[in-house]
Amino acid sequence: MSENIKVKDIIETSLAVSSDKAKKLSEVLTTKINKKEDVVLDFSEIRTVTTAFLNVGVGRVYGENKDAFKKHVSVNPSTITELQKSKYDLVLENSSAKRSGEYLEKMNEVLLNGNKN
Amino acid sequence: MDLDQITENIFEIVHNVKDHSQSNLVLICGQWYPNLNKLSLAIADDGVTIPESFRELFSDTQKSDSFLVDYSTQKGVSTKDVFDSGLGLYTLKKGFTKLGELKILSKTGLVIYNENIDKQIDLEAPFPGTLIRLAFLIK
Repeated sequence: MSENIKVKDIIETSLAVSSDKAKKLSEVLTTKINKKEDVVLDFSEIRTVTTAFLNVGVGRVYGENKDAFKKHVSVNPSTITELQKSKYDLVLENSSAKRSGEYLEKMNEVLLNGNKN
Repeated sequence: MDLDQITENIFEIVHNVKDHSQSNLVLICGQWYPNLNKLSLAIADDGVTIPESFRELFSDTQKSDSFLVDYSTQKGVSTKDVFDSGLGLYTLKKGFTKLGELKILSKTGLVIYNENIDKQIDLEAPFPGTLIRLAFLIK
């Protein structure tokens, strides 16, 4: 049985923009994942989402334990806009890619030697 | 572009200022062109610039300011020492090149993006911070 978690109730605003508010969401998700409980994120009534919020709210939790996150956390698609969902997916992809270890090496190479491509 | 999308992009920029420039000042101004159905917004700070942030991390880089500003819009690229970062300017660029024009000026580095242009220019004199200008049609 999955528990519905309404993001607006956790951050107490319809603006999901600050990393401070995002910490509240990441704490809830971490607790649920540690208890092996399934949650469905509900973004209804959230007007604005930034990547900065998602980086802290879900990206960090995903990056630290990708398999558990995939197993226990999902999003109710009917509660999230297309733009917000694309940002959510991008944040998870970025979180995973940057932990691969190649990121800093590539940045070093680009800034000290090569070009961006 | 609807109002929520505009708000979302403004928050992305303002958050970038808060996270990266160390400035307590954010200036926002805008102009509406009713005959063209066009809105132009400019957001500026007087803090640490994008090229300066890169040079703090990579002091040996010989790249120009405009190269570094352009590089900051690439996916995942950030001067913050955390994994979960580097998407604010990327999403801004990705969204605006389809809808209008995005200009970023930081120190002497100016970049201009729209559907047909991806341009880097190095100015002779520095801007004392970062200025982002968005111009787009309202549907």
